[in-house]
Formats: sequence, C-alpha cells, structure tokens
Amino acid sequence: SEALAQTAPQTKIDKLKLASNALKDNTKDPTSSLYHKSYQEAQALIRLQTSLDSDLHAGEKVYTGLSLNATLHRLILTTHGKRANKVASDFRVPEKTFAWIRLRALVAKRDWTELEEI
Amino acid sequence: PPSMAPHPGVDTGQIKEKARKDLLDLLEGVRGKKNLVIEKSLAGPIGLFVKFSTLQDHGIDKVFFLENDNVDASQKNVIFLARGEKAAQPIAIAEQIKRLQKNSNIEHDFSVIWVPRRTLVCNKILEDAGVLGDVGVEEFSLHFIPLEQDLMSLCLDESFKDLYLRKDSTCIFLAAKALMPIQQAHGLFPRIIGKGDNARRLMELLLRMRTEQAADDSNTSNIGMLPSASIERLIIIDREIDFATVLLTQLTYEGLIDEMFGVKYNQAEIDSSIVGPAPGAQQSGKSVGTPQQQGLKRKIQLDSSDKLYEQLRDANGAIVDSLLNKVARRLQNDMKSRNAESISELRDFVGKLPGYQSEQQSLKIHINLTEEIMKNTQGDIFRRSLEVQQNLYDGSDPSYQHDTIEELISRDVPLTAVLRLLCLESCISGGLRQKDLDNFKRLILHAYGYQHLLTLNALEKMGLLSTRASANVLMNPLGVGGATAEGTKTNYNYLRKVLRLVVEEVNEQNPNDIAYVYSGYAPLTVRLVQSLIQKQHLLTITKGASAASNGVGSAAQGWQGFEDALRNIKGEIFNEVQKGDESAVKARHMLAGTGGKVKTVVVMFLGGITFTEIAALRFMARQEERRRRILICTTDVINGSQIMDAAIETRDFGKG
Repeated sequence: SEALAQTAPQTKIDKLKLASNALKDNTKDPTSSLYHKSYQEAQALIRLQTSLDSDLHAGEKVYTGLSLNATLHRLILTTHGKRANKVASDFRVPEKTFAWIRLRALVAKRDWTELEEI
Repeated sequence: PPSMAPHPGVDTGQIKEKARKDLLDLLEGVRGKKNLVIEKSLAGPIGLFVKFSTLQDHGIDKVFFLENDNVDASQKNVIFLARGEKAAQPIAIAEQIKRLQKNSNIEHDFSVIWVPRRTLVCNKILEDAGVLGDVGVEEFSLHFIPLEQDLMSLCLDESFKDLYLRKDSTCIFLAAKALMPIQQAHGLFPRIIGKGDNARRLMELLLRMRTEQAADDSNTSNIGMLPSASIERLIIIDREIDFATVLLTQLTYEGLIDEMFGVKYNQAEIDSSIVGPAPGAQQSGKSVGTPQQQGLKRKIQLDSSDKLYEQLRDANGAIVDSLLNKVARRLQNDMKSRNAESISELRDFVGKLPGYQSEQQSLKIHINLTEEIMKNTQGDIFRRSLEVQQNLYDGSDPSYQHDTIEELISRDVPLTAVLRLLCLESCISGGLRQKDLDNFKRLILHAYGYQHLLTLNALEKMGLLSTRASANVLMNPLGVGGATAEGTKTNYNYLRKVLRLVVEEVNEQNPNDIAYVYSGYAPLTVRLVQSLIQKQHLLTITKGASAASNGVGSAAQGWQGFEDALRNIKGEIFNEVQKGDESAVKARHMLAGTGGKVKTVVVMFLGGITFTEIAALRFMARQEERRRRILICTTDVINGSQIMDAAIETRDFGKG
C-alpha cells in the first residue's frame, strides 16, 4: 500500500517489487502466489503506461492510473487496436472480456464498420 | 400507523428535546458571537434536532467544517464540536488552533466540545500540541439520536468498518453508554437476549456497567436496580451473523431511494433535474448540514413529517406507483368537490388549502422519484444483478451465475455492484472455490485496477469474501450430530429451510410475511427477532401447526424451538435475566401494580441496520401492536454499497 503514495513511476515499481518479493518465498499458499503474480502485473502495467504516455502523449499522464481494461478501452478508442491486441495477450485477458471491451469502445467511437466485422 | 405512536417508557421526542437543550446550553456557555467548527460527520446527525437558524439565534455567526480547515479569524470566540474517540479530530483541532494563534491579529477564545465524551486521546493530543491550557473543554453526551419515533441511531458512520475491518470495539462501548440511560430512566431490561460475539460483548458491558453504577450510588435508593415495568426486554443482534441480507438490493420504496441516491439522516440529495428545483422560500428551514450551497442537487426531507412518504416508505417498490395513483385521484376529487355554498364552508376549504398544497408538492416529488427509480429498475444491469441475487438465495448452483458476473465486470459496471454479488455468493454458499475466486480476483484487478488487491484483502478480513473450506459444508448442516464447528459461519443453505427465508408466494400488495421487503426473501436478522417475540407464528410457518402447538409453550421467553437454527448461525448466543433486589421488587408490586400492559421491546442492531430490515420490523410491530411496541436502535443505518465502500481502496496508481 505504500506504493500508492509514491509519485514517480519508478518508486512505485520498486515498492511493488518489494511486496512481490516478500510473497515469492511463500509460493505454497495459493493466495499469495496469485498476489505475487498480480504485483508483477501491476509493475508491468505501470511500465507499459509510462511508455504509452511518452509515445502517444509526449509524456503527459493520460494512461497512468487507468486500470488494465480501461487502458485497452482507450487504446481501441484512439485507433490503436493492434497495440490493444498485443497488450491483451501479454496480460492474458480472457477472450470474452476483451470482446466486451472492444464492443464498448467501438460503440463509444461509433465505428460501425468495425462493429459489423465482429 | 400505530407504530408511530409514542413509546411507553422510552419517549424519543424527549430524547431529542434533551439533546437540543444540552447543545444549546453548551453553546450559550460561551458568551457573545462565535464561530462554530464542526466535524462533517456530526453535521447531519445534529441537523436532526437543531436547525441552522436556531444556532444563529444562539450567537453562532458562521459554521465551518473541521475537515475543510478554513476557519477564519472573523470572531474572537471559536467553538470546535467533534467526536473524541479517534486521533484524527483532535489532531485537526490542535493544528487549527495553532494556525489561528499564529496568524490572527486578535487573541481568540477557544473551546472544544467533545462528543460524546472527553477521552484520554484528545487530552493527550491537545497537551502534546501545547494548546490544552488555552482551551475550554466541554462534553456533549450525545448518544442515540431519534430518526423517527420508533427508530434511534448512534449515527456512527464508521461503525461497520470499525467493528469488522479494524476490529475496534469502541462502538460497542458507545452502544452500552447509550443504553444505560434507558435503564436508569425506566428500570433494568428484564431480559437481555441476543446473538453474535459482539452482541455478547455488549451484554457483558451492560452487566458490568450496572454493577459499577450500583457500587457508585449504593447509599441512595435507586430505581435503576429494579427490572423495568415498561420494557419487556432488550434483543441484541450482531450484524456479523447475517451479512447476506445487507448485500441484497433493498426493494422497499425507501430502500430503493437509498440504493440509488443514498438516504442519510432522513435526507436524500437528489438532482434537481429529477425532482425540480427547491421552492424559493427554503432559507429559514436550512439545517446545520448545509452551510454551503449545493449547486444542482436538492435536499429532500424523507421522514414521517411527510404524511404521504410515511405511507410509501415501507411498501414494496413495485406497488408504489399504484399507491401514488390512488392518492392523486383522491386529491383531485377533494379539490373538485369544493362547491362552497356558505361562507363557513368556504373558510373551511381555504383553511385546508395549505394542507392540499404540501400534499401536492410531496406527490409531485414522489411521482418523479418513482419514475426515475423505475427507469433504473427496468434497466438491463439492475435486472441481471437482481436475477443473480434471487438465484443465489433460492439455492441454485452458484457457478451458474458466474457467466453473468463475469459479463458485468467486462461491461464495467460499478465495482460496488460486482463486489456485492461476489460477497453475496460467498456468504450464502460458505465461500467460493479457490479456482473461481482467483479467477474473479484477476478479472477485478484487470478491470478496476491493481490497487484493489487491498480491497479484496479487506473483504476477506471482514469475512465477506472467502474460499470454501470443503464441498461438504453444504451437504452437512451442523446441529444434527456434533456441534464441532458451531457458529463459525452462517449456513444459509440450512437456514433457508428451517427458518423459511425464501417465501415464493409473497404478496407485495398486501404483505403476509416480512419477506415482502425483498420480494420473496425474509431477512435472517428479523426472522431471529420473530423467533423470540412471534415464536408461535414462526413455528407454525416453519414446522406446521401441529409442531407449533405441542412443541414449545407459549410462555417460552428464550430461543426454545430454534436451537438447531441458532447453531447454524455465526456467533455466540446468550439469554440473561436481570433481577432486581427481591424485596424492592415486591415493594414496587404492592405500590404500583405491574404498569401498562403494552411493553416495549428494544431491538439493538450492532454494526448497522438496513431500511428493509426496519420495514420488516415495523411490519411485525403492526401485527404486535396490542401486545408490545418495538423500538429499533442501531449504531448506523447502512446498505450494501456502504459496506463495500468500507473495504474499497480509493487511491490508485495514477496520482500520488
């Protein structure tokens, strides 16, 4: 929870790393192994969002702080569908979930041609 | 309705009046004009018994919220009004005193009024800050605040979180402190009975406080040592025994307003695009809670002063539009039939006009509200989530609901709605399978952010979310053979049958059972109250007429007939009789007889009560009106979204 109070992305990642390492030794407990994985995913997401912000928004914090699904939604909405596909598969987002996100995003941008292809 | 008549013994009107007088006296204690700095969470409760204009009459110039940290130097006198149980308030007060001392040109006179008492924590913090010597300290022993004549609340809006997440038992102590004056005024509760570990702690505290008090004033003759003649008993229910009920969507009119807009301290803030703008001449009626204007929201008063609302609030939401229709027609007819023939008839009619006008006003508001609520209840997401809830309490295989819940997550419905469904499943079926729970956790973290690792953790700590120990729990109800795991989890699958929690043929128009408040599900907590004061009735509907008549004597005062059910509910049970000094009891009998026939049953909910449970208890009270009255007491009025909010992590990884 300390990680939430940090401003710089790198310190957030460091704090999360600490937390996930603390849990790593405890792999027998199934709950903590899920948490360990989630902490790693959280680090990966922050890294991803930092790079998205610098690639697409000149460093302005647009993606930072969004959830994974909201990140995907935004990517599709701003016509970065391919990138969204890759992120979804990297994070192993279930197909059904991704389909819903895509549907919602395409409706939001009134992209009827893409919608018909679904 | 009769339940609104004053209670013999405990008069909520008197309690309200006393609170008002005590507060105004304390404010008068500081001479001249003064500024008041009030803790936000106290503003609403205090607004229930003092209007803003009354405060002005007593020398209050401006009101500030403690949390806004913006009290200015416009008055020499500054009064702080805050709760003293936690560190946050005294810390804020000390800082603001120091700020004013440093920046202000004039020398201020500070006083602090602690609610309900001055604690070691507040002394210590003010002392460490070096300001204790500069302030006048007072106590305002505000305990129960009457919301209605049959309902009193401690208005502790963190009591649920304190009890079940922080494991902080302050609110049990405050509940005992609030119940003691009732015993002092009306005699001992002849019986204290209840269910749940925290409830037991409250009972023990009450017993201890009684002994301490007896030691304090042993030399004076005190009525406090006698069992009450006007109170039948105190029933204490620990919220923890039944989380599922809170998680369900409330389906009474008041419950629906609460689910959609939130009802706090008899008020709801509703968009004026729905109910229209507030009428212009409302300034004088402004309460303490509204020092600032609130833009496009309008505060609607929701209590029994609105006669129309009083009829609607506890009805099932599905019939409210037909009730409104009837009232509208009646009003129309009344207005038409005014063929005033004589001057006296005309005067009569004119005299009634204000009444018609306010009724029309209220009718308009409630028609608009109902329309808005129906828009929502007919929506796809509301229907799906209600369907999941009904399937869960009906006892169908919970895994059939998982697709729907997954879909709702993917569609980005509010997190509270999703968590309520998952926690409901967990509570009703004794936990989720590890694999399913892990899957949902992943979906939630993806959809709402990784900060909710903390949210999920908090829910598990509160026992709202858990993994199923083994599939056998479902198959083997406790209580039949050994009682090995007695009372560790509430077993709804067993209770569904023995307490008839699901009532399929429920009549929403003319309710025949408390289950009408959830359109077919009877709140477990209120069933337990029924097992005490409507024992024969409940035995008849659960076991059949023959079992009821030859099973348990009608004089039974305890849990008789429901022992098996109780063993399948989390937490301890207790049943304590408080006897007075025998000679004194005899003496009183000779002096005064036994008092009135209709006695009051006090039902105390620790950890919070929902509007639907209040409606169910009132439904019972109407059936019992010839024999007894029910006075509902609670630490707070709550709903499922609020208890989710207690767990939800509000920070995210964006800012920091």
